[in-house]
Amino acid sequence: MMNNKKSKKIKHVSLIVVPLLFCFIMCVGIAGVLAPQLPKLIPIVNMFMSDKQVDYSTGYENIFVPTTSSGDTVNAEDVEFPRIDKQFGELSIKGRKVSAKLFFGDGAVPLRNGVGVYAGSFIPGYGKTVLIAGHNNTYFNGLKNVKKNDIVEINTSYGNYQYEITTTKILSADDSSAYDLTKKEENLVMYTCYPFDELGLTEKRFFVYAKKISGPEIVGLYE
Amino acid sequence: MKKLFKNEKFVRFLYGVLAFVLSALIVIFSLTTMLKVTVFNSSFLNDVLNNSAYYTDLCDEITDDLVDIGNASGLNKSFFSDLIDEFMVREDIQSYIESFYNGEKLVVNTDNFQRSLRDAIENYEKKKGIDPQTVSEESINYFVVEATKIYSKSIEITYFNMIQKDAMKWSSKMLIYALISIVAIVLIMCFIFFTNKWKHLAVKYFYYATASAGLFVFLIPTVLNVSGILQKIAILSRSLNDLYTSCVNSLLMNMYVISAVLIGLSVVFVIIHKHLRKLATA
Amino acid sequence: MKKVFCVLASFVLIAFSCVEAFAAGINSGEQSVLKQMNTPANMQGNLVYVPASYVNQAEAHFNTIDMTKKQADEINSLISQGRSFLESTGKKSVSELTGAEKKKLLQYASAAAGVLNLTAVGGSDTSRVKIIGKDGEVIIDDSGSVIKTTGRTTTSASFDFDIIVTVAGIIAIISMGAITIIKTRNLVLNDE
Repeated sequence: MMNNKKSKKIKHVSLIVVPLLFCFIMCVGIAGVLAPQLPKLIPIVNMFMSDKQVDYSTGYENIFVPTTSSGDTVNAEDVEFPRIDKQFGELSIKGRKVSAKLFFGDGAVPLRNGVGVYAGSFIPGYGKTVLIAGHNNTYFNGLKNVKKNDIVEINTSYGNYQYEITTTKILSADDSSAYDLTKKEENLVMYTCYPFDELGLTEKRFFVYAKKISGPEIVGLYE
Repeated sequence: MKKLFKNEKFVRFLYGVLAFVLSALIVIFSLTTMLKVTVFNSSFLNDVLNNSAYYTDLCDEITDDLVDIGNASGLNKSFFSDLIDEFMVREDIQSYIESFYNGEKLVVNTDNFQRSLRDAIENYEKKKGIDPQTVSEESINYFVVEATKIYSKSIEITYFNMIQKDAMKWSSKMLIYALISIVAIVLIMCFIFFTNKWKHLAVKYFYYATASAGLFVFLIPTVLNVSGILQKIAILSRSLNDLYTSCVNSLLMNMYVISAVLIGLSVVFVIIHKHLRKLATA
Repeated sequence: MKKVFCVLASFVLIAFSCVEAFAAGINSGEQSVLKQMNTPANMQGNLVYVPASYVNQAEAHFNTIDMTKKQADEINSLISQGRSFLESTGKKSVSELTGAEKKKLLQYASAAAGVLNLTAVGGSDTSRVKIIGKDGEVIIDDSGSVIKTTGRTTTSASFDFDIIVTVAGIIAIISMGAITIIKTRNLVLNDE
């Protein structure tokens, strides 16, 4: 009687345990097949994972706070270095109808909303090349009016800069002589598509070159 | 050997192994059939696209990208506001998908887009009083070429051109795997059923196979959902994200349905098993 | 001097993905990485450099993070391994590398990316590289060319490296192996 009860219980338990066991064996089998590939696969898969969902909004963050400080230097520790797609200043050329928000990066967000510093160049005050792009139909349309000795004003949270336009050039878009990203001297290069106000696209770009005349140099960069 | 087959424990073990193989085959059959009617079927993708916000978001993205090059081409935002027709995008994508599944060369038909764009430029010139003689044909052509590239890249579903060959190969393989597994399933079921003296025991093995297969199929989407790995994948465009999310959700839902069917089937087998057992002991 | 952009660029991108902490300035570890990035690979007498634009982007990013010495050592080791591997292939340019060699390079890159929290964002425009931190902040958004038309790539100047893979790409990697991706995507940049 006791044995009968026990065997009945075992049979009932087997209805649950056996499917679970089979399922477990299948999982182990799959893991066994994948195991040799996992060390290669995990980093590759992980490379396309983000803890936060991608933000599809076309908005941007503004870290620009106007300042009146006028020292010759600013400590790197006091500078909030901008990240891509963030507004960190303003650029204007008085009397030439150039006035735009200044972003870091020159992708879609910066160029839709203002002008952008190429991330492979440097921010003002760094003592190197500052390469800024803008659309000829919007914020850099006024570049067509600029003349030698015009003053370009760039205001950032860490200082206000002035550059004097030295020359302008019309060059091909793939002419790498148009800029020098290894230069150890602060120089401003602004460019837009050329010709201005023409329907259609061209391979030409209008480059405006300027030298720094005032503004704080960022010091203490290399610890 | 005969002795071995007379050993009840060994025979039970053998049936157990067969039940396990049956279970694995059911999983293979379910998943290959599901993939064949979903991922490897153009109507599945079309349904997913129609039921998601893909087309609307894609039209917005194409327009935004065109506005960007418009800003370098003397054309303002309003020029592009009505340029991208959702119907045209829908038609071009559907034809692209058909080509993919038919194994044809993947080329985006940009004729309609180019025609619309050139008409729009002509109308714009008229509206603004621009003398076409003063407009550089070269610049316009360059603009049209670049705009067409944007349109074409947007219509192409990313990596479709790269995976087409392998997808076709896998598609036919899926069918073969499904056929082989169903034949094997039938053979093993017949073997278990007809070689078993006690039919209720045979049905119990069917229960083991279907229940474990159902559990396993249930586990796959559950693990993926719980781990959150699918939500973590970073995709650049909203439209592509729509497509991805809809496809994944649909596939996961299919797996849950399959799992429910298999578990339902296993319940039926348990009921039959109990009924037959009662009859046998009566 | 040949200025070829190569798979080393991938290590540049890897170098971008460090601890998300605000820290202005370039610490000694970061300086050593920049130095390592500026060291050319000698491919049968051809010196292969990482372009200044990428080294500069790394420097800009280093100004926003604080790299630990351990991370710097890891990155330096990876760049060094990548360079040694390039030199050991016996090829004169990166474009001459075989699929298997490129696959090996991707393995270095992806292994490092796994260690260093890098996320490549996949999209329909596969000529564009977008890398975000795990916190969703954009670290790099690069179309390849220094001079833009409108923020999109028009002419490919020097950059053809992109490991931006969408879901389909990931599935493709898993199912077909990374080699397929590399074969069709070229981790390699143009010789100039």
